[in-house]
Amino acid sequence: MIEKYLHKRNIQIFTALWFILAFLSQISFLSPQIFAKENTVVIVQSQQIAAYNEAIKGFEEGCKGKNISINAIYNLNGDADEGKRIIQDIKDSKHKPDLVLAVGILAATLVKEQFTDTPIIFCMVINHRRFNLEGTNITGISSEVSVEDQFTILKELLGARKNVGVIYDPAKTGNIVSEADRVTKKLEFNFIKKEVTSESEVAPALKNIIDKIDALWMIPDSTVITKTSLNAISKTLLEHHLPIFCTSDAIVKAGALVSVSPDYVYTGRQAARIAKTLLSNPTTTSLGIKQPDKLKLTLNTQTAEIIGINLTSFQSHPDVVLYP
Amino acid sequence: MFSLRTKLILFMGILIIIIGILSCLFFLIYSKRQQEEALRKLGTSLVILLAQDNEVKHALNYTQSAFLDAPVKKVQALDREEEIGYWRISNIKTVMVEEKAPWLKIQMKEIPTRHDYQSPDAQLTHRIITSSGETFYDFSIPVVEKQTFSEEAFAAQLLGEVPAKAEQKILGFVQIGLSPHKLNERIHRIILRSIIPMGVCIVFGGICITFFLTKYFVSPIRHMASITLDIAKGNLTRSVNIRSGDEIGQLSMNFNQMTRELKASYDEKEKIMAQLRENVNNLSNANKELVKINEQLNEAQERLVRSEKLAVVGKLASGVGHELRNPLGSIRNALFIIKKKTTNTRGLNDDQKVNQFVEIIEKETDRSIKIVNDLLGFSRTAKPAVSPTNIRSLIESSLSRFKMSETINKVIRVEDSLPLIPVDANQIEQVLINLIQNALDAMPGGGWLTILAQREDTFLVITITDTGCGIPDTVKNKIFDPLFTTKPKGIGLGLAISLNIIQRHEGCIDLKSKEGEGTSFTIKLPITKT
Repeated sequence: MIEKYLHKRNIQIFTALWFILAFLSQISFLSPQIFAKENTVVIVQSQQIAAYNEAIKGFEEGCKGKNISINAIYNLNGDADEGKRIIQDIKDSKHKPDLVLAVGILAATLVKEQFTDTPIIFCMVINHRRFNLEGTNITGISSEVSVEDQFTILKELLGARKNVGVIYDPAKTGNIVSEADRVTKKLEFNFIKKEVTSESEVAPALKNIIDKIDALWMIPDSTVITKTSLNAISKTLLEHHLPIFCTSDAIVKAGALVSVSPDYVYTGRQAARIAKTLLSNPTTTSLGIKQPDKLKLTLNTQTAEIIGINLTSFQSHPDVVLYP
Repeated sequence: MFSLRTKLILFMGILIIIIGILSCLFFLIYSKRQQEEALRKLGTSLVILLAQDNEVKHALNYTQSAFLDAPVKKVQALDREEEIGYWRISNIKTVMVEEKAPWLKIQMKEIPTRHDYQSPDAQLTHRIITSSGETFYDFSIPVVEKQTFSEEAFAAQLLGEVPAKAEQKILGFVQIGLSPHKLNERIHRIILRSIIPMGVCIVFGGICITFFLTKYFVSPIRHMASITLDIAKGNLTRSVNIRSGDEIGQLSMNFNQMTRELKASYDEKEKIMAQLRENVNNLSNANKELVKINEQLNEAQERLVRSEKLAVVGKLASGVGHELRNPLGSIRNALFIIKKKTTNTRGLNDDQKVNQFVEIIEKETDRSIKIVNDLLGFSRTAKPAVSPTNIRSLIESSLSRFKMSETINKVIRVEDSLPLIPVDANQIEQVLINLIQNALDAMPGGGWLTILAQREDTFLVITITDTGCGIPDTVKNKIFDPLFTTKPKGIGLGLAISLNIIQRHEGCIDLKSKEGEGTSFTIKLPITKT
């Protein structure tokens, strides 16, 4: 009886020990996640605009469940002096962030200047190559779709062997046009370039090439695209029944036919994933410049109707935004 | 009127002066604009610097003039040339700082305060002329609370949002006035150091260019002109030695070509002229020959006429002679008988008058017989019966027939070596007698009778010269005509007969006479009979 009891007792003890051991073992595996210190991230945005806010929203969503805590979101209000002061304050605070997310060019350049050893992720920087944003602690997400992707879509839209014109300031977007040279040759486009150095040269340049082109490619060049020139270019192209393709849905709203641009929310989520990777592996401080994960195609149906282009095949695309 | 050189120099001079003036003017205007542009840039920079200064913004925001000291001093430090005439910083409520340079006499109230910056196109720079006449470049700009970073503005535009303008709150205004006095000084310096030397250089360079151009263009032309003058004077061997490949070289080549062709034409003309001269000479010679022939023809005609006359006269003389010879013979015979009877009868012999009449009748009868004999002799001139004759003998024989007065001086010169000549001695003697008689008749008061006989080539020349009254020119050509005479008692047959005789001997008689000085007859007779 006693032996039976002892045997039963042993089994209970053994089972209890097994559970204890199993629990301890489980605890030991999960401890880094449960007991690890929460990573802090500071978000700096250049100014308060919807596109930046969408990216930040995506980042916030992406950080959930990744042990990443967003300490604060700073708005530089587009003011360089104020921005410097704010970033200096962040740098001088007692609780330094583990990672900084810079949204916009002003934020990216100022953060890069002040934080030399903290991992930085930038996004929503238009034509980032111009601003020398590479660094050992910098990872970025390009806000432009690759030139090859853009021309692939254009080829699908217009067909091959078309004359595509571009007006650009070589000091600002010469690198993009150089790449486009290579891509257009590969995709059998006849690429017609026209250089300008000031806004006043844009209208004559357009007049010069308007009769030679089948479509105009508008790249993010601040010399070419201004509030006044954008309307004039759109109007002229529509008068000639020629399409504009670009990388900004705002330009599509102004009269361009099509734009290929990143989905800003998804850009934020992509940034969150990169943040997780960088924070999980302290030895990795930079992942280089990444292309956006998800693109969206914005089409202006009204423009298509004026020009006489059938967009039916594109309308079935999952990431198409139709305007108006 | 003006030479090409003068015209070229005038033209180039005027051109250079115009170019110089225009260049200087252009440079002056360009420099002035450049200086004004520099002044504008300086003013714009200073005013923007001041407007963008944070301390200015704070000063305006909190109306604290003290904050403005540092930025104003910063701007003044940048104004090295002391061109800032005045500055004024004001916020929306009041003017916070308003100062002028100490050397300016104007009052700040003369400078208008600008607040028209609501329009984005409002001009930054204005030119102000104060009531005291001073000029300023006024730079005014609003001070805004903040400005969006341009790349961010561009990003916002591309990403679909345009920052609201209303957010750019205007805090105040910054106004700076730059005085152009330094600008004017600089322009004066430019005029003195650059424009005037440049003008002088242009004019001097132009003069040098004009000199060389003139030399280059005009010298060849002058050279050609001098050669043209030489050619005009007939020196066609000259040529222009210009080897340049330009129009002047081409002109000289053409000129040389023209000269060569001209020389060829001239040579051809000279050749033709020489030919013509030769032809003219030939014609002249032919003419002379013709004149000579004509003279010979005239002479021949004259001879013929004379011969005819002689023939007529001879025939008449023969007829008259024959008719008168017999009556005259009868008269002479009857006179002889009468004379004889009167000699025998005293009655008649004593009558002196009868004797005188008889003498007259006898004398006149003898004279008439002589005339008749002359006439008969003239008509019967026979063919000369030639025989070698000593001319000296003939001359002496002829002279011996005359009884000369003492007032006549004779000079007889006959060459010793004269050959015997084949003549009819009687006929030639008659010729000599006739001519000596004429000479003596021409010297009634005395004179020199010279008879020369000499050989000239194949002729014997006998010259009988007197120092008598001479023969008038009007009768010279009639002197050999028969029945022409100037003597009161002559019948005008002596010289005609003489000429006839000499011509029959194939000789000739020439007459040289000058009225009042004398006459010379030259007889030329061939020495050998042809």
